[in-house]
Amino acid sequence: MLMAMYQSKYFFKLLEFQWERTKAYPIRLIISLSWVIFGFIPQFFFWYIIAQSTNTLPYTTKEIILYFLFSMGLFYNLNQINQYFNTIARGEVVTSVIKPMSLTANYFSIFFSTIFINKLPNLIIITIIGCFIVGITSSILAAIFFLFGLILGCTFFVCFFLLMFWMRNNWGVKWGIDILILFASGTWIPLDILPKFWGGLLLNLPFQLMFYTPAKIFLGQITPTFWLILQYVFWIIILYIIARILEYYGLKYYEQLGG
Amino acid sequence: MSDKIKVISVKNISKSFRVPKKPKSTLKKIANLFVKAKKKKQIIKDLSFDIYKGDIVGYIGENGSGKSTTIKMLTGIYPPSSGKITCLGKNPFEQRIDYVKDIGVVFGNKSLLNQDIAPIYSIELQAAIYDIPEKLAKKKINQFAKKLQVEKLLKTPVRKLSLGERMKFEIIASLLHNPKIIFLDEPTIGLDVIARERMIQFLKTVNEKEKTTIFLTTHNMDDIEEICNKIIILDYGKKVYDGNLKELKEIYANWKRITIVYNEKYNPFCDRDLEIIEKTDNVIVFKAPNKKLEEYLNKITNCFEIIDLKIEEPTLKEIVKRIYADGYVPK
Repeated sequence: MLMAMYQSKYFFKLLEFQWERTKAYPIRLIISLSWVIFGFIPQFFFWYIIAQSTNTLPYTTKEIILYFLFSMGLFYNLNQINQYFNTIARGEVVTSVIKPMSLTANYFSIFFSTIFINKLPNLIIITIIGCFIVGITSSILAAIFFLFGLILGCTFFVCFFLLMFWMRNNWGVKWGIDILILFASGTWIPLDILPKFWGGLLLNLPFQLMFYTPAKIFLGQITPTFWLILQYVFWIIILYIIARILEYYGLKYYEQLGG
Repeated sequence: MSDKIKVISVKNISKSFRVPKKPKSTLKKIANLFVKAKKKKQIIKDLSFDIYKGDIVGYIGENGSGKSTTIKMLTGIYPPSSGKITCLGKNPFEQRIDYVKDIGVVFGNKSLLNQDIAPIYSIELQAAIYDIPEKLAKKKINQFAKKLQVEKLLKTPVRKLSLGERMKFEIIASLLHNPKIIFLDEPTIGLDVIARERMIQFLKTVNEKEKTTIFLTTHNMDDIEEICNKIIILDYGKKVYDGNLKELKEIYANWKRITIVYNEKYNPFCDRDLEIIEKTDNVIVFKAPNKKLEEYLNKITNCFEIIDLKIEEPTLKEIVKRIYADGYVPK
């Protein structure tokens, strides 16, 4: 992450580049936005019924709806960047290797800018809605921590992308990772309503920092502290080191016959 | 041409790849479902050469002879299995990030441009990667586009461009940062005569002005004849020739091509001892060894009622064809 942002000129140019790509097919953006609404409707009914029928849930109906508005509206996974996962198997990764930056930095920038541009309309809408319902501070802090989470998520995606040097775009594993993110990040079920063991386990993994923590900040149930920021930094550094190791050995292992 | 500053030094490199191996026994076939059996295939065998500043090198070989593999090792994409490569004083694989700042690479069938949007955005992104100031980048893009006559297409989506136009933009994108070496992997693949000519001319100008070293792989012998001052020929991973074009012709062009256009009346048994390359209605092309040139000419003039006669040196294509067939170059 830090490695990509140090070349801020490239990074901002990449954001502009992704925006141009999005503009080239505006219908994709509309479909993506409408998909969020369609995806939210069953979640809304599901959790509304649960919230109405039990009083053991540590959330009010309004809170649970806001939680899923935030986490489902801003949810991203490998599906959004699926097009890049073929580049190693198809040999197109060579056009990135000849650039004067690490593959980790390059693909982090690509993943971040792709997802950021894709999620920007939702982020703006949710932040504005949040300003009226949960307050300006919580909304803006949640948006900031969502972006920290996105940096963390993209660093994780880069690690996983680099594994493709060995796995060659294995869709089964990708699908598994998508499910893991959906579950472990608290997008499907808030982690604090899970059984103690599973909730405790998942709260100690980095995935919860992607959606669960920003969503709880959005609800005003978590106050951001320096310690929380340190957790983000810690996991980003760990994942970055893993990515650089994978990059070095992946390129050594890489074989691509022909032009 | 060359001022003898070594920019690329390749010493005894080899490269092997793991390729799938077909299992024979049933047990191995079942095991192969889980763990693929592989065997090693050597693509490059003990290859050595040196390239100097300002050289334009044609790197030729049949399909599968290891041309693209060599380019990938020279550009730091992967390391050789053994041996040593030094380019611009650096190890391309180990010092890749630093090294690639000084090189430009064009892969004929792998694009630097995004298909959905206009090439200008991809090229500007490329300029940002190399930290080229925006004004300078714009000036350079316009200058190169003008030279290659694509300035009006800068804002046309890449998917609406022809292959030749796309290739020109690929070249622009890879030259923006003034690389010291340009690697071109089949850059004229699929180009028409005019597009090819313009590209070759452009590369010549860049080489003359900037003293840029150009390393070119191609199957088009006209490219080599027009632009290269040095050629390296590979035959299944082994170097079979490394030198200039003139020397190659001296070694291999020990025959002449005699083309005649004749009247229909001729003795069909007359050309029995003469080696024929091509024969159509009333045109015959003979392959006459230099030593027997006079003998050939005498026989031909006696046998045929000649309308037109032409004596030529063999083309590079014919020479290379012979090298591929023989597999070695006589010293």
